[in-house]
Amino acid sequence: MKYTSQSVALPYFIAAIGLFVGQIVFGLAMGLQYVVGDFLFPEIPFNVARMVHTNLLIVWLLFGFMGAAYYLIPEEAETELYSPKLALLMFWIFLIAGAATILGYLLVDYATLAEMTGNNILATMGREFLEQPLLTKIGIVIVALAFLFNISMTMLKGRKTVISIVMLLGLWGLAIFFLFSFYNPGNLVKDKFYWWWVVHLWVEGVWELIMAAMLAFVLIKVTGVDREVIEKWLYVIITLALVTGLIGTGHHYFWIGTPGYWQWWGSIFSALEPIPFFAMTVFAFNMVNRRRREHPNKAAVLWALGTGVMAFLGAGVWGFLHTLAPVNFYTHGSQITAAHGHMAFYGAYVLVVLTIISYAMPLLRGRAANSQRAQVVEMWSFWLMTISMVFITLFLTAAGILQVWLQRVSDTPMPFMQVQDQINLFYWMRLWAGVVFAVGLVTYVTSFFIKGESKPLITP
Amino acid sequence: MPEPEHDLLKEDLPGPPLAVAAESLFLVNLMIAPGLAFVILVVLWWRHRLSAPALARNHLKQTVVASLWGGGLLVGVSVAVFLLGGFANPWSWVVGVLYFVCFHAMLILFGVIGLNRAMLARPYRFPIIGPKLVE
Repeated sequence: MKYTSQSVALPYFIAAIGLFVGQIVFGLAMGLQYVVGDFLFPEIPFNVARMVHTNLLIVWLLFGFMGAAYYLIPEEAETELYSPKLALLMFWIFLIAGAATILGYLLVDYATLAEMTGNNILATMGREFLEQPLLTKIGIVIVALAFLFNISMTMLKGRKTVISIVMLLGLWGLAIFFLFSFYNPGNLVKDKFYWWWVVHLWVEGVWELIMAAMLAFVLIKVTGVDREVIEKWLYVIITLALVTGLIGTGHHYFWIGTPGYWQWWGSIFSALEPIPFFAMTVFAFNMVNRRRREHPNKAAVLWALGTGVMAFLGAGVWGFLHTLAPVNFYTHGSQITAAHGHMAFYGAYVLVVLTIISYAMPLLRGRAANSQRAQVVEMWSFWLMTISMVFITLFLTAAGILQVWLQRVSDTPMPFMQVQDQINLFYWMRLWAGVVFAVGLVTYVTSFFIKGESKPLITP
Repeated sequence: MPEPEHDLLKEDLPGPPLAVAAESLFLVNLMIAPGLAFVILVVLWWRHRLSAPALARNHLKQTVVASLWGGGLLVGVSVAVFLLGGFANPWSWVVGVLYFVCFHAMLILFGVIGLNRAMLARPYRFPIIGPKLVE
């Protein structure tokens, strides 16, 4: 760690991992609810568990992005963070607000929560992924603005690099597009139309910039490849991401009441969306293969390569699988979507956050890399989580194909719940794959507590 | 003539353009323009199969053979699944689609490794479906 203020990233990373554990606990509960419908009912019904599962994912990834920014921006800008105190204050505000929101979901019924938190003043709740109460949404905006102020001021007083500019662009985009969560028109079509400006333009737009910048930062550090080479790749990747991803939003507009031309725009541009992820895979492999020396943190290199491959598979391949309008006509909202969602989020964003945590955490703890034993355990966790996520995706895809056939293609289509009975076996298999994922996560957390001879930090 | 030493930490694209083109066409054939890219790849191989430097020939040969085997297995097994299982059988769709997606993605990942090897001026052999490397 070159600058002492980078240490503010540490609590953000710890919180991210803690919330990740919470997300997986609720994921397992839901996996069980799929096959044992009454599990935890009425205490935690499926819709609440799902809301907690997805909201925790978003919040822990945001913690990860913020931690990453607090770590990499000072180093890129070659100056101390503008205000470490503000960063720590925002950490506690975000953590307390996030925890209070999750407790609100679990302890109060949703309608009462809406009433208690001012939803009657400005109705923003009740929409998938944007279920947060108005107060929480306002809190997110305040935290995001303070965070962006801090990061931007740091960059303005220091060196401006391509990585930090792309990172900042992505983070500003994240905050700006979140503002559409406050716009909730009465017309359902318009509501969905702008809802995707948050959801899609985050994950298939500005988040890709954040991801590419984080990956580029780690790759420079672990490979020693010249910055100029990496920056050129970064330009290409973000161009591809924005050119395909922005109009690619159209693949969400197929059957919701928008004009028919969206079927063409959405199909064509989203068919191109795997390309930036493909470029990231080539990029990660290319940079790692160029290295002349072995970086002591082998685990970070593994996470970085895994990000490239799994993001391409999950976001690229599984996205393309159901993105063309004629295919999506049948597959819309089926388990195929769930399969894509799981692998895409894991491959692109979970892995990139774990990559930077893997790289930065030893440095934040005063060493160049963890001990060999700790790294072996960490790499085991990578394989356990990644392979089980591949199986979760395959089982959900199989369930989805069967669901589409029985419910929508067959000459004698079956009702939804009857179809769910038919695909029960895949849900059981998905659950067991989920259990292996949880074992992988426990292994990951354990790796932080394994002692041994670590590589010392060489300071000039 | 020995291959020149490259500084992989500084050079953008040290590999021979012909090798990079071959691997790129292999990937384009899988992802964007199936058939058309393969025809261009075969033409490229035919024109340079004797005259190109050893490294470029390696990538040209590997990509042509891997395209033929890969394409054959991709289409052949998928068609076989539907012929044996029946077009109206949902399980044919489950097995067929999963096979196609996984095998196709695997070919792309092999191609990514090949493209990287070409870009870094290194020889490559596609696992299983690529012809043996000649010393």
